[in-house]
Amino acid sequence: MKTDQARRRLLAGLGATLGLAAAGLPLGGSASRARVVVVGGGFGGAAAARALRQFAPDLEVVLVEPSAVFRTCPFSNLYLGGLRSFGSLGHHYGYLQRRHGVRVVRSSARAVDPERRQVRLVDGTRLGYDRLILSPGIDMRWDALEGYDQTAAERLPHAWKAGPQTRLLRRQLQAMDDDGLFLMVIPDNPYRCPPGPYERAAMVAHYCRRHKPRAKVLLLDAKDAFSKQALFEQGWREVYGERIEWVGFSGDGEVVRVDANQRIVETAFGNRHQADVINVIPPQQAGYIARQAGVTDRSGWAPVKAGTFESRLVPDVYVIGDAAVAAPMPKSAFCAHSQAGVTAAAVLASLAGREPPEPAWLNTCFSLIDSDYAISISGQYRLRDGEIQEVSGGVSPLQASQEFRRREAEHARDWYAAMSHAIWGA
Amino acid sequence: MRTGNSGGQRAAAATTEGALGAVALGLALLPGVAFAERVPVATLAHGCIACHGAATTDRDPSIPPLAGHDADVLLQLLRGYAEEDPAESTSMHRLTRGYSDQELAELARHFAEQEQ
Amino acid sequence: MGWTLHRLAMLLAFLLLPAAVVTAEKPAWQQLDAARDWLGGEEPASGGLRIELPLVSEEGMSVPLEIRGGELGNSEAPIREIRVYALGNPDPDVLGLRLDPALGRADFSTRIRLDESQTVLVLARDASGRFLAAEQPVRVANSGCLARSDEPVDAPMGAPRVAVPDPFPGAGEPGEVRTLILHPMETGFREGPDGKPVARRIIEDFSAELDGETVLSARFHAAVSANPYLAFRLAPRADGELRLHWRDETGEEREAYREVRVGSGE
Repeated sequence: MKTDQARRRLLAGLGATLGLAAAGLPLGGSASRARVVVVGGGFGGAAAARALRQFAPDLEVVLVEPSAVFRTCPFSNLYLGGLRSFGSLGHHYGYLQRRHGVRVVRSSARAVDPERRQVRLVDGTRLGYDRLILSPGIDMRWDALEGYDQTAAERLPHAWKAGPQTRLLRRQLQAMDDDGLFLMVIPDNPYRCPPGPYERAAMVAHYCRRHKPRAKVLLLDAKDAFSKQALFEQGWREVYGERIEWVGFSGDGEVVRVDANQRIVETAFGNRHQADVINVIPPQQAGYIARQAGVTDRSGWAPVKAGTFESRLVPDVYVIGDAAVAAPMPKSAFCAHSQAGVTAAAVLASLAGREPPEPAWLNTCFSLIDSDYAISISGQYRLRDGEIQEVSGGVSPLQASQEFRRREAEHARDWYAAMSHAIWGA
Repeated sequence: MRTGNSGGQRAAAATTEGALGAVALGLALLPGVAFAERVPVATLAHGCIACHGAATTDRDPSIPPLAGHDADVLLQLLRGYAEEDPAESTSMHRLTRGYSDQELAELARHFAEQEQ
Repeated sequence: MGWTLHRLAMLLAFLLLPAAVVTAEKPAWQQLDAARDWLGGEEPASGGLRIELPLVSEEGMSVPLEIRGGELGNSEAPIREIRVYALGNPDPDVLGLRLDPALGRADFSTRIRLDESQTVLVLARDASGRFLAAEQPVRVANSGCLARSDEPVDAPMGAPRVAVPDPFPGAGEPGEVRTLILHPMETGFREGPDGKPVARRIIEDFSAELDGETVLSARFHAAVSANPYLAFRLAPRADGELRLHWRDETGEEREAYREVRVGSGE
């Protein structure tokens, strides 16, 4: 406690200016003695830790992450499709520690005490903070879909967090009969990675084309429209013919009940579908620590101030990535990385007692249809009238050459390499 | 709906240009204004590295690294993407339309100053 | 001197108060002529009626709306009529419902179109003529990620889908009936690919009859989403037959029949 107070006194004073004017960040040196704790080592949290140290090399940055290896959801569909190894999805934290001087604490955050500005870890350790960034990703809402709980997920994997679930789904796909049915249950908005289910459909079809030539992929969707829909439907048809069938809400695609033992799902209008492999992507909510910290509202997600991503509910706590309500920005890895940069700057400004700098965010999501066929959506977001608005953006053209699709597939691979190298150095 | 607003942003950038020095020194432009009126180049560059990478690599990626290029050449390229959609462009036109000319120039300078 | 300056500052602060802040304090029903006309000078009570909408919608074309108006059977003054308004839509009318106590509960689910961030208002009138109101602001942050295609929908009215509990839980116990019919619900506000407005065509009327008695009649407006979805409760006292009927403004009709079986209530 004493050291916390001392640190805060230091913060109140004015220090020498850091060499940040060149970077355009309005910072005072007073920020340099502060400690920022970041919870969650995914695209948002790890990038925030890196950005904080880059912008303010003297800042103490602690990253709390329970896993030694982070497995990315981006490209986990490619693993399902057989285009990438499971190992290639894994990234370590050594580089963040060595190259950027981030203190990585391998543990889980169990509670946040905003009064004392402390994070309590699972082993009881308390970490004091001056500013806290939560980037906890998502948790499944196990109460949201009748019959789908953690036990059911062992038979009907969600594979919506990369890891053992992803491998389980891959094993089930491999073990499926040649003429099997792969069924995917897709939730209503908002959920992690809006185009993800549709890329997964393509990647499963890609696998089946070679290994299960008579298998079908059926998508039961709680929505009537989805991300890059026209491009996906065109790509599925061009590459996989009739293999993939999508049923939206109006076609009775909303699944209201699952029977994990029988491998049967039931829709809102009483249709029952049995399948050989069922991939249930259930409704989601902000990760545990966000809910525990009191930064989420009744939607289960964390409302944030649009320019900084500081929680609207708890001061000095920032929430970035999938857990935050950032619409119209999608819940994507790219957005989490972008929010990390903006929020790192806002946190530093706040520590220095200054106004947050004007924000600007980007998003680009690539989706692979085939190994040499990808489509993308990009957008730039700014603050307008106090809200996040898309100021430019678009999707891949519907009419495009094979060469164009091939180039986007190459871009997708280069994006993954560049982003994961920038964050994890691997 | 998606509309480019670079024109409006450019106008806004012009009016605040005189105050840029103050911002760089870390001074707020106006008391009571919630946000400084300019996006720091560090924030802008953070967006670029997501695809272009934070450092050069020994690979030959289809998305080129940005460090160490001539600032004028880079700016001409960026302006080209912002103004029209070249056939070979995928995401660049969609994204660059959202920047002011001032911001594109700052980005070009920023990456030119980085070591290759 | 200081006092004068203070007064001046106060005055300026008042003059500069944004209009939105002032109007936000006014209940939604006061801001809408159609609502005031229906109320006829009555002031609605705020309890006994709830609406549920997402706080933020990523797709204004289809926003799930739930209305919870409570029990009908054992209430002294059950709700007889409900109207839904979207204050920021070009046409604020969304949905009108007339209820019979045979529904058991005044609980409904549907999907509506919201043009932009705005407040949704639900008004209800009970059997004693008293009005109830509930409102909720919704932020519509249409994600470009989810932009629908602008392809014209030229489908005629499709086959209806209906799900009824089989059996209903017990005599007089409400169970949920779900209905959906394929229909473009063309608003008339949309431009086709040729730049000309696409002609308006919406389903206007929906009704549910239990053994020949109308238990629910609904008036849809253009703000009901394409492929109108309406779920309601029904509390049949005995086995019977449910008839559902849709009519669009060209006069085209569809109907569906479902057997109603009442369980033992165990």
